[in-house]
Amino acid sequence: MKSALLLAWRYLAHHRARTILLVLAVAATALLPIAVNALVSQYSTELLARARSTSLLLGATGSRYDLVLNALYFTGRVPNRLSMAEYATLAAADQARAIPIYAVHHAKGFAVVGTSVDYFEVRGLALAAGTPFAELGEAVVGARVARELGLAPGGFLLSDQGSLYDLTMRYPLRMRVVGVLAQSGTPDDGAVFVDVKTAWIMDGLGHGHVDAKAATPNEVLGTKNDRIALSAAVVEYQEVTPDNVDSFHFHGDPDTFPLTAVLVEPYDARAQTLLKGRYRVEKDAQLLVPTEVIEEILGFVLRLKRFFDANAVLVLVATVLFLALVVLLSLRLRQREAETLFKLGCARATIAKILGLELSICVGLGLVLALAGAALLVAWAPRVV
Amino acid sequence: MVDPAPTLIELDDVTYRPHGGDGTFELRVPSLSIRAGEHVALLGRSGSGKTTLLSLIAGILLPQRGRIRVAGVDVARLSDAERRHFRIGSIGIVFQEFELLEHLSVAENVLLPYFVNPALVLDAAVRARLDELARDSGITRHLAKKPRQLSQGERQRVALCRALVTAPKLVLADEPTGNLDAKTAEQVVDLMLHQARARGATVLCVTHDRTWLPRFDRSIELEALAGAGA
Repeated sequence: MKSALLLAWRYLAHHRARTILLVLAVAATALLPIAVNALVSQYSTELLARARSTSLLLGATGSRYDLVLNALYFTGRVPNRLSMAEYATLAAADQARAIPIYAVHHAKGFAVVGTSVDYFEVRGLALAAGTPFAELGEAVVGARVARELGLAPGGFLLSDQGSLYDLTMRYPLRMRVVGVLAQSGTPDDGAVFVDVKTAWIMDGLGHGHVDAKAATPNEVLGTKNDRIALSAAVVEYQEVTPDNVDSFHFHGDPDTFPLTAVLVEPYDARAQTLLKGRYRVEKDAQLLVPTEVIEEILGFVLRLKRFFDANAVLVLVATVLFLALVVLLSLRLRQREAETLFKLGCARATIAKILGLELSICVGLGLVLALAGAALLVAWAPRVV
Repeated sequence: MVDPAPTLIELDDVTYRPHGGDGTFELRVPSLSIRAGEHVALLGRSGSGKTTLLSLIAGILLPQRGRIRVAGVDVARLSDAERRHFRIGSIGIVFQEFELLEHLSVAENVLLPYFVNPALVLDAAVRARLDELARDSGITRHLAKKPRQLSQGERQRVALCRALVTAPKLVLADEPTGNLDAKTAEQVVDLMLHQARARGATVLCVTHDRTWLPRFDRSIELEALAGAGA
């Protein structure tokens, strides 16, 4: 075996260019199916793991997929909003732990998630540095955000502007980073967490500005009873500081303030059943089991993958036929060499073994190359979660 | 009185027709006997069956009729594997076109019989024999080279070393000088006969060049051989 391996290796090394071409052909053929399988497997695992860590999800009626993808993975948009009144009703029922989620804003491309500090406990997230947010304008950033933006406690992060052509848009909010989360390998690594009220400030539902009583006449549009209407000339604060935090206030009925979702962790199975029953008849809200929704989404992905698999099988068959052709042509070219070996006392089986080893080495190296390429592709592929 | 050397090759009423041939060629050897240690030149016109006769003696081809004994062994009665083992252990073959493997070094080419046959053991004694053969053949400095880096004469010396490295009883040479110029051919023939004599090996060498005949103990005309029995 050792001698046959030596002879096979010597032949391949001598015909280097031919060997490299064959190895690359095998690698190129195997790369895509291996990469697709690895990616689908990884995505499925990650998506399901996140979904399984969330018992129930409350959101406004509408697309279930959008709701789950936004609340769990902070991707996409949720067209409909849930009101704080819904959240308050759920929390008051005392059947489950309810964590508000308001994920509509972004900072440097990363999702800004308005929530409560309970979120970290429910998700099992630990701080690598700093403290949780406690005041308006404070932010805790995920490990990837901190790494990519070079952020640490004491740093600042501006929220992204909406549309430049929207005259009513809010100015970006300058958030103060007070904490950095430890790496969790979940979508939380790529998110910025703030108190839900901070997220509402980004919405324009709340703001801070100079004291109305101290406003100049040019900044006052009018007064009625004890209320003062200020003009747009009044400078609004873009950052919450200890000096101006008291000036921040919210307009409107807090019960109508929006949320995109509520993470619901029922205290027991009975509570879960009761909650499911209750929201089955609700018109404005829906209570979802994230695992069911994600499995439904994965069903579509796997259906699509079957086409890839069918294609891969066809390519594999074509490659095997090509390899057979190459081997047959090679045998014809090497007939004389084989005859010499036979005349020197080499068994025909040994000759076949040498040729088989050559092919196996090429296919093996091609597969190793394909596996390495697939690993790189998987590592570099954009993360779904 | 010195006892005559024992017979090494003995053919008796041998007939061979190639499978799938057009039926016009048939090799008939009514009788042939070569003693151990003899150096015999085999002559014959082109296509008369010289190479076929060597292949029959080596057990590469099997006759339809007759008996071929080499070193007392009836070659045709051996199984494929036994014939192969017998060939590699008892016979060294030198080809007209050298038949060296381009992807192996000179040393590996010489040792090739040991790589392709598990029955042969590549030990220190074999390596010593390689060094001795290489030195005697003047190819020591080429051992690490590839065959394409050698001249034609040097390549045939390598092929000769390969034929002798297993210390065979019999060397079958099929026009070993066919691709060489006169001077190189002379060196190769001298080297082959010298090495074989030094190792007590019998030589049966196909040649078309009668100038080499004085160097052999005797010569055989294949047509005369066939005619003698006709």
